[in-house]
Amino acid sequence: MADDKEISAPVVDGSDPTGHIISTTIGGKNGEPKQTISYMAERVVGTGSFGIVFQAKCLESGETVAIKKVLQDRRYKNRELQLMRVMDHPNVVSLKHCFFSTTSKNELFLNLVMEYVPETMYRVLKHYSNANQRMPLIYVKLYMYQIFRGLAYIHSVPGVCHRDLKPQNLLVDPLTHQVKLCDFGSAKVLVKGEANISYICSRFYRAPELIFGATDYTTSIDIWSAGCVLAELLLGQPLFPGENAVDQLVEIIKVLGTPTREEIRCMNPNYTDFRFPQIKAHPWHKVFHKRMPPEAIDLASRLLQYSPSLRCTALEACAHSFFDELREPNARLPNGRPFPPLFNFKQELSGATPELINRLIPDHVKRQMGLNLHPAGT
Amino acid sequence: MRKKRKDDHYPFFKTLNILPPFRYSKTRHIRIADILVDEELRSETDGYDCSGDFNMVGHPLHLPEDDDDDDRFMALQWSSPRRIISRWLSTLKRGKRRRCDAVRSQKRPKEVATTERETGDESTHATCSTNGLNGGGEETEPRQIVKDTSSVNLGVACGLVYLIVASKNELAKTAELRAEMEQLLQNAKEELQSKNSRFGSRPVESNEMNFASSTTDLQQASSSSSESRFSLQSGMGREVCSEYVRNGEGEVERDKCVEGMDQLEAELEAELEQLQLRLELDSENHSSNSNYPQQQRLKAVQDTAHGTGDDGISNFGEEIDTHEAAPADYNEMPCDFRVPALELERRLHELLEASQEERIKELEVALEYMKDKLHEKEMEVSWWRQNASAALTSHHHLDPSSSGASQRSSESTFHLFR
Repeated sequence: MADDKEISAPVVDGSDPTGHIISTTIGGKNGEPKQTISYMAERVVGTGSFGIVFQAKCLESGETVAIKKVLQDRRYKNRELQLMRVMDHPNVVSLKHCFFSTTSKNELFLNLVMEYVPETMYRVLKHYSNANQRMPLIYVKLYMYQIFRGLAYIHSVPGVCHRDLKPQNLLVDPLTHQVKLCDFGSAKVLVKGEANISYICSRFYRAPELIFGATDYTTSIDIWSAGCVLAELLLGQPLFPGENAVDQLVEIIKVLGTPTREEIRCMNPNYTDFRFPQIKAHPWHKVFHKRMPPEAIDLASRLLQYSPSLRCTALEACAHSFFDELREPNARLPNGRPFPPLFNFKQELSGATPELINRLIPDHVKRQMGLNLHPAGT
Repeated sequence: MRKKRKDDHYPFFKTLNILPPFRYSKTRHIRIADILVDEELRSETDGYDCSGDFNMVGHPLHLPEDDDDDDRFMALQWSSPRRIISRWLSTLKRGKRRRCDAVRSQKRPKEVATTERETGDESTHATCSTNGLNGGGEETEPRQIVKDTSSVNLGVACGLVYLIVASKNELAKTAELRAEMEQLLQNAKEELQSKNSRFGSRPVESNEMNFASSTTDLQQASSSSSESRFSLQSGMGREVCSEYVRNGEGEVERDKCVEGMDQLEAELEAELEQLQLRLELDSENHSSNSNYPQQQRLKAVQDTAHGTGDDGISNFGEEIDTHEAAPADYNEMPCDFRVPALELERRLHELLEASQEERIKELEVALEYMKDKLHEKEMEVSWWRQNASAALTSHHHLDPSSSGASQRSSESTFHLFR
C-alpha cells in the first residue's frame, strides 16, 4: 500500500497554506501516465514544534485529507516518513501520499498527506468533562482496546515505539468509533543495546524510567502512556498531573508508593544509591470511584508498573478480561451499529502464544473464519 | 543610562528604542494602551519637529524605531485622526500668537517629562505630564467661555478625559516596562557576575548596559521562536522572525555604546561554536536566515545552563529530538535530563511530612472524640455506681418485706430509663 507512493517533484506552494491550492504530480515511473493531484488547504488543525497540520481537500477525488507539513532537513531522511511508509493497520493513521515543497527562501518542506479523522481523544474527553460526565464504560473499552491493538501492531511488526502517546495523538472517528494512533514525529524503531534520548513523551504520560533519565528503555513506555490514558478516560482527568519532571514523579509516587530498590534498579540503576523516603501506595480501588469494575482497576494496575518488564504487553492488554464485553457475539455500539473491525489480526499475532491468540479471537469470529486459525482452541 | 544621556539628546526615545521589540514580542496583539503610548510618543515627536511651524495635519513622523513594523505603523495611522481632533479642539479658537504660546507651553512640560522619565521616576513624570495638560486646558478655557462655552467645555472635557486616560495607560505601561527592564538588568547582573573576571578591566555600568540590551534581543528572539515555532514553516512567519532578529541587531549597532559589544559578540560566538562542537549539529545555514538557528542554539545554552525550567527543557528536548538522526547527539544529554535525586528526595520528604501531619491531625481528632466518649462513659458508670450504692443502702436499711423500699427502687429505675 505504502509502496506505490511516489515522492513527486516540488511544486508551487504558498507560505500560509490556508486557502491555497497545492498541486503535485504522482506516478510517471513505471510507464504510468503522470497524474496531477491538487489539494485545497482548508484550515489549520494543529501546530507544534514539528510544523503544521492542516485539513485539505483533494480536488480530484473530493476526499478530505490531513497534510502535515514539516521543515525537511536536507541532510537526513525524515524518520516519520520512513516509519509511516511501512505501517499499515486499521488503528494507525495511514499515509496516502507525500511530496516536497519549497519556498522562495529555498526552504524544503515535507508534506505528509494522511487520512483525515475529525476528532481526537482529547476533544472527546473534554466533551464529557464539559458535560460533567464520565465516558461510558463501553467506549472506554472500545477505545482502549483499539489503542492496544494499534500499539501491538507498531511494537511487533515494524518494531516502532511511538514515544508520544497521549489523548491529543489518538484520533477518533465519531461515527464508527474507530481509533487511530497518529503523530509519529517522535516515534523510533528501538534497537536493543542502543541508547535513546530520554526526553521524549509529554509529561503526564511519561513513564517513570524516562523521568529517571533512562536511555535503554523499551516499547513499554508506550504501555505506561496507554495506562495513563486509560486512567484518564475512567477518571475524566489526568491521573498524574505533574507540573514539572520532579513533580511528575511525586504524583506517580503518591499513587504507586515509593519504588523499591529493585524497581529503581529496573528503571535507572544510577539512582539505586539514593534512599528515598517511603511513601505508601494509594490502593488502586481508592484511586477510582466506588462502582469502578474490578477488571478496569486490574488492567490499570498491570499497565502502570514501575518495572518496565512487569508491564503487560499491548497484545496481553488486548486479551485482558476488561475487554471481554467487546468479544461477546452480539456486542454492538450503543446506537445499535456494529463495532469497527476489532479482530482482524495479521502479523502482530506471530509472536503470541496459542493461548493468547485463543483469548484474543472470540469463538464467534473463529467460526466465521472457518476455524483455519489454531483449531486446537476450544 | 549615563552613557545614553551623553551621546544623544533624545534619551527618552533611546530608552524606548530598546524596549519596543521586546514588548511586542511578549504581547503580540496591539492593545489600546500601546496605541496610546504610541500617540504620546508621536505627539512628543511633533512637539520637537514642529517647533518652527506648527503644522497640524502634516505627518512629520520620525520615529527612530520600527520603520518596518507594519502593525505599528498601521496603529499610528489609525489613531492620528483622533489625535488631530483633540488637538484641534484645544487650539481651534486660538489666535496665531496663542498658538505659538501653546506650542511653547506644550513643549516645556514635555521636556520636563522626558527628563523625569530619564531618571526613571514614573510617579513624578505622571504628575508632570498631567500638569502640563491641565495647564494647557486652563490657559485656553477662560477665553473660550466668552464665545461658545458649552461646546468648548465639552471639547475640553473630552480632551481632558482622553488625556487622563492616555496618561494613566502610559503610566501603567511605563511601570510594566520598568519592571521588565529591572528584571532584565537583574538577569544581566547575574550573568555578569559569572563573567566579571573577563570584563574586569572596564567599569561595570557600561557593561551592564551593553549586556542588558543584548539580552533583550536574545530573549526576544528565543521567545518568538518558542511561541510560534510553526511560523518557521510558513515563509511569512520566517520573514517576521528574521526581521525581528535583524531589528534587534541593527538596534544594537545603532547604539553608540558599543564599546563592549564586539567583545560580547565574540564571546557569544565562541560560546555558540563550543556548543555546536558539543552537540555536533552543523546548522542548516541558509544564507537568508542564518540568525534563526543561531538563536535557537543560544536558547539551548541557556536552558542547559539553568537546567531547572522544565518547559524550557521540553522545547530543547524536542528540538534535539528532531535531529536525533544525527549520530551521538544524546551522549551529552542524559545527565542533563535526569531528575535531580536530591530534589526528589526533598519533595518526597515534604510529601511524607504532609501526609504524616495529616495523619496526626486525624488521630488527634479521633483521640479527642474518644476522650469525649470515655468521659461520657465514665459519667454513666459513676451514675450507675451511685445509683447502685444508693439502691444497695436503701435495700440494706429496709430489708424485709417493705413495700416502700420496693417502690423507691422502682422509682429510681424509672428515672434511669427516662
